[in-house]
Amino acid sequence: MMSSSEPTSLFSKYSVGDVFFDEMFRPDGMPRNACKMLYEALNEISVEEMQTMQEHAERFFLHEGITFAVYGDDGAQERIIPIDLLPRILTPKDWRILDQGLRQRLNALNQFLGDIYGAKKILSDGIIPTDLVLGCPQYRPEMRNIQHPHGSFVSICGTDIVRTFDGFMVLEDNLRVPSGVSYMLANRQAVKSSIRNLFRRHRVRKIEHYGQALRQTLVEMSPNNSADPCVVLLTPGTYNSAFYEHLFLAREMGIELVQGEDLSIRRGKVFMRTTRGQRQVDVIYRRVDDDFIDPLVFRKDSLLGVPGLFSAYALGNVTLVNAPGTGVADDKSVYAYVPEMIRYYLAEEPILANVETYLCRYPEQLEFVLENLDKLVVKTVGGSGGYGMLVGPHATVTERAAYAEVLRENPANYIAQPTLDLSCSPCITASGVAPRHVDLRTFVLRAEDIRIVPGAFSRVALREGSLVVNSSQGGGGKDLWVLSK
Amino acid sequence: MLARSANGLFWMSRYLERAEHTARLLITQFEAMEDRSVEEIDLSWRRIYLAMGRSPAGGDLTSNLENEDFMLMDAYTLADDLTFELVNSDSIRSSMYFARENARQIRNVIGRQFWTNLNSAYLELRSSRIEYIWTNKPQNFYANQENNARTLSGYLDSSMYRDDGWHFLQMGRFIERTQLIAALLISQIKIFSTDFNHQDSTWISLMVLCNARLAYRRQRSLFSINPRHVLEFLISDAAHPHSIHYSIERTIEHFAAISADEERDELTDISKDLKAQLRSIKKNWRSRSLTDIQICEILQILLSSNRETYNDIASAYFFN
Repeated sequence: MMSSSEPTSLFSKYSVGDVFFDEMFRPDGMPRNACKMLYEALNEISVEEMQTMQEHAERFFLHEGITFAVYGDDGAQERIIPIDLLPRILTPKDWRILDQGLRQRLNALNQFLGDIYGAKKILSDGIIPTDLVLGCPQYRPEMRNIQHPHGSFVSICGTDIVRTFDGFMVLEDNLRVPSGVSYMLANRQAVKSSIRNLFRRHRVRKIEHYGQALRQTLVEMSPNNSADPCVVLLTPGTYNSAFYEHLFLAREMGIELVQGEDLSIRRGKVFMRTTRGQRQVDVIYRRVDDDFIDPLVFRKDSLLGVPGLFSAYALGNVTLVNAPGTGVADDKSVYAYVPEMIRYYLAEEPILANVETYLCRYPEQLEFVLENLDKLVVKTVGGSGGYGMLVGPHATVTERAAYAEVLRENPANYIAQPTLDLSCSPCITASGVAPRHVDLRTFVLRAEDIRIVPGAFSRVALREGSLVVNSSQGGGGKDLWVLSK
Repeated sequence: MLARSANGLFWMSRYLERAEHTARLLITQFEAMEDRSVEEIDLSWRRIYLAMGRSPAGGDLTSNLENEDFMLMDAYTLADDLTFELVNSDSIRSSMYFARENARQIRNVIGRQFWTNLNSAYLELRSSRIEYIWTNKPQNFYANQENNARTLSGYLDSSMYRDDGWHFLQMGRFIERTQLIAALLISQIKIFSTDFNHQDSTWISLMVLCNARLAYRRQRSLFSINPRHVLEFLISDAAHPHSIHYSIERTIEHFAAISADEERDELTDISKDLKAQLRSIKKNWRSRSLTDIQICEILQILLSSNRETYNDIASAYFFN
């Protein structure tokens, strides 16, 4: 028996179940092959030592100002995004599957966007219901017949991946203004400095070149094929939840971080206000939602965008990355048809599976959802960040009843999915190391080529038993180690 | 560079300069409280607030010079006001807060290390409390604040690329310094008067506030403090980094670097104005027969003109 002063080993209280896929352990409790070295090394560290390292990492985040504001939270601007120091490991084989599947998916999604804003063949061929696409609030008729360099409407994609005992599945695609990549890089930095020796012993693939890859992608999106276009990042400003990320990326790429008020339109071109006069802008990596980019075309009350920006874009004088109207392809109803898109445009079988999805717009599927609310997760079709979601098994009878009412009022606004047995990964908690549910936000870049850095923001549901990993719902993150062999 | 980034650098630098200055005011004040008379301490508080052109958060200074305990209580409140009061734009916290807010928006143009140091310094300051400072040695706390601000400026000096951003940053620093020193000198003359036989200590403390004690000692004798000589040194010495002359000259240099290859009328006007400010102090300080009122008038005109210069720079570069 240990004395009270004796350090406790990290995994002494860790329990591996057989309900959830454990990222580190097999169901028999033994570490997976790729995780053995990490497991053995971690076992030499006490819980107390790890907690100290964890505190250092959190202090690093605080002093670096690595924040993610949660709207409605007091002092939101100063909230650091929680980090868990224990890395999650993916084997080269795991990553190969993800890499191929993500490339395939993004190619199909871009072809889909080019098609629905052009000839609309996929609709006329009856592969996807026309009203589902054209009636989607994220479908922007203003985008009709607008071409994009390299057919890349989505140049920056954040696809969320989960793992169960059945393998990897795509939970959703984020094709508008996905965030999280800076946290992937910050987690790596924190982990490398906290558990340096462990990191060094593993052959972890590098991710630090993401900024270069992103810049190259944006340069390739220049409307005039300029080798040195003026690229800027447009942010809504300091109060945006992901402002830290906007700063981080602008710095990594060495480009200007602009706000709407810094830009103006003259003779159909976009100019940036500099100390030496106006400078023409060629590519805008915009982190402002469609609704707010141009008050003359979209929301009239927007102060975040630039009046006339959309016209300059439609004239081909500037490229907006991602294009407006890409949200139609990450609408949760349209998501259900992505496997069909892959077959239709690429004549290939999807490498990554979708999660089974019920579209409440169809009466028979709505009935099924209402009868099985206690087993399903229900989401709004245009939602993101975990807002407006019902996790049936964790909701009370009253909450489910209230949600059913709302669902019946506007069924087309909802989809439902089975509660997934999201995989677990060991995390540091107040009472030692315990399993917590995780997913992956991957980052895929597309212009002339597709670029994927071998890493991801592995999001963690910090509360015991919780399946909600979203940063905007208080979720945290951990470093993902993609091994090179 | 992006106009908003230039504005951010300019103001970040101004606020850092202000934080350093206020910290120095408080170091000097607490040192004075150790051995100076109650009257002198009271006048020194007044010198600070007059220079800032404001009253303490709670209203006017109402020192009861008959009661030393009351005076200390007052000092506690005033130190709190000058250290932590966010409404007071000259307080250390307020200055560091705005320096940080400006820096936060331009983190893509300043070094990561600089940001981390500034952020850490601010977070440490934010978690401090006047109760704790008061019961420990306050001078150490304020020396630490001054040191933080200086280190941050020094970090920028040693690491920043010498492009327009750097020159805007330096202009911010020296315009702020010109105004802080001019305001302080006006306040000093109004409260202590160069003719009245005040203790040397009030003029020594002025030099400490302007980092001038060592330099002055090397140039003149400290054994007989002549208030006119002190003023002359702080206004017209070309080599002392905290003199008005030096500050305006640096502003001129950095402005010239930014505007070198541009031919805009408004830039020519700004350059002329700055040079006129420099000429005015050179010319006026040839005559030592000025009255205190005349000195204050000259400094007041300089202060107004310098403030106007900022407005012109802002129109030409930040809000063009």
